[in-house]
Amino acid sequence: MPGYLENTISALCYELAGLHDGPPREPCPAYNDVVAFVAEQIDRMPEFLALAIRIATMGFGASRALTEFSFFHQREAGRRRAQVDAWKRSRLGPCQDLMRFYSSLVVLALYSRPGADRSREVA
Amino acid sequence: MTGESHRCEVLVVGSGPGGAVTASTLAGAGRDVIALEEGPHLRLDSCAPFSVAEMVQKYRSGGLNPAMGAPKAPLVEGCCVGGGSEINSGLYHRTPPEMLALWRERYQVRHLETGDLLPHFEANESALSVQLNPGAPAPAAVKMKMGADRLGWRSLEVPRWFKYGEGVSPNGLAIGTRQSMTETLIPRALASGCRLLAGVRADRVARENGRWRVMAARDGAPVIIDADAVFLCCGAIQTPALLRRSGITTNVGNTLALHPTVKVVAVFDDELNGDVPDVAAQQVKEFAPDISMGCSISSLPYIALAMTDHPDAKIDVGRAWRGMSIYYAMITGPTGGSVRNVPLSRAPIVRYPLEARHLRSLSKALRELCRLLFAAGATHLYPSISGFPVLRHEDELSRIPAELSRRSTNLMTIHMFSSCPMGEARDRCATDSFGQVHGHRNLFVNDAGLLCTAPGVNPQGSVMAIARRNAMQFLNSL
Repeated sequence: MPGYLENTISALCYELAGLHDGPPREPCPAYNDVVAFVAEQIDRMPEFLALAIRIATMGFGASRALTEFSFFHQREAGRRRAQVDAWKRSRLGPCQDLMRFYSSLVVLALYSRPGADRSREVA
Repeated sequence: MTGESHRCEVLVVGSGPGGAVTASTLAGAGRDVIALEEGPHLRLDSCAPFSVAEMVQKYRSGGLNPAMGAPKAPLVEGCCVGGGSEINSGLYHRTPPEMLALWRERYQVRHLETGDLLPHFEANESALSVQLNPGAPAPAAVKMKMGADRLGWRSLEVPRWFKYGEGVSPNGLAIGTRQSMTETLIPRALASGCRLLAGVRADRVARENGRWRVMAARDGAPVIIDADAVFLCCGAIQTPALLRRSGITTNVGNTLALHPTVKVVAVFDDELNGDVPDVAAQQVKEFAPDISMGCSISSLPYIALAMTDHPDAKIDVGRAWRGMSIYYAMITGPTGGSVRNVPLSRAPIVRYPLEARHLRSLSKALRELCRLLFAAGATHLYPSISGFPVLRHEDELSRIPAELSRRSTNLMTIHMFSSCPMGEARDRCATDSFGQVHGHRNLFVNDAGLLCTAPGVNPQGSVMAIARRNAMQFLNSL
């Protein structure tokens, strides 16, 4: 089960990082540092909150499994994106909260990287 | 597992502004003091200020511990030697006289006139180099002042604990070093003989054989400290949690107050942000004490984070962020929160429900802040409401609902107080007028939890003055 959770967190972070890191690129840039930061932050959270996040993340990873015949981390990018969008726009508060939680951490890590500041680049 | 034990005259639990003042005052008077701190002992410059590295090193729970409610409000607490002073902006206010009057009247706090606190304000201000910026103000502060002036609103530059005198940058900004407890009062306490135990978490406090015993742990190994007197200075969340774990619950953790805060990202045509995040120390007090406005840290990661509320905004933050700045409006929140321990968890759960009238106050605060920013020349405003449309003109302020949505409003706060209010009104106060827990001789609270209500201003000036007053009272009582 931990492997499944780690895979789900990693896939979700990659998806969100791609969303906030400009247009899609080939090959996909590496975001392992972002994934590591997010996973470590979850470990730092109060135990009861970290548990809730982990359970919700596992639920996220398994949702649509019956219709897609795969877990979130096993799907190709476009179908992952659709699920992230659906959870972001869900009428259920906890679904939105989970996406907001991950988006916040991913964006913090992403925009703290060297090179994130492109304000001096010539357009 | 091998443990350690210590004995001292006074144990101070927590080394933030309340604890550092307490430890330095008592050690300076020749008392045998141990200061206990859960977090690590790091230098102020161990990481860049307001960075992700700082969150990792110095924030409790990595900064991820919300107050539960609708809307939720993330709480930011320091967890290192120096506590919150190591991670905040160092903005300084004395306690407003009307707040002291309210606390005297409603909570029956004795000896809390402005004159009673004056020597303590002055001593702390001297120790921390509290002063106004002698150089040019930060560009974000100039904008805020410009907007206030155009509307005829009252605004002021707020002093900070900051040591200037290191020259002036090419754009006129005064160069200096932010002060904190590890730069000032902690070294002073250590020089006076205080022993500092960092990385030790207090679990419980109990009365044994006429002394206080604190059961603590370092990396899982037990640490026992016996003391004649104990000052709990762990902040408005951790102090009530520790007292409640110890079975002391009367008026403890029932009346937490916050300054719920909404934010706005403002876009201007000119450049506001340099390479190093600067604190813009301008605040608007036109609606004080109910509403205050000011400037937030506007680094690239923080602006990008704020813009996640607006996924449809067609703005490349990585390129545009130097012309964007974050501003806040905060309300003086009610004493309606609670702190409770959770089985099998080291962290307590914090609840902070807001009533409809508070959401209306937040709406007014947001609307007036946006009005000010348009007056300052902002071209686009992005409030901290998920999915809220961008505002381009003052005429569009009517889009802000009269009562902010519980679902989509994103609040935050760095100010927490009132969880162990002081005073002689035994029906509502956890401690007496000088922080001694009612019914528990020589057990004191000496942190932000003592403030009877939200003060409506940055609280550390109040926390430190009251902590010093209480420590002096303790010395005089010996």
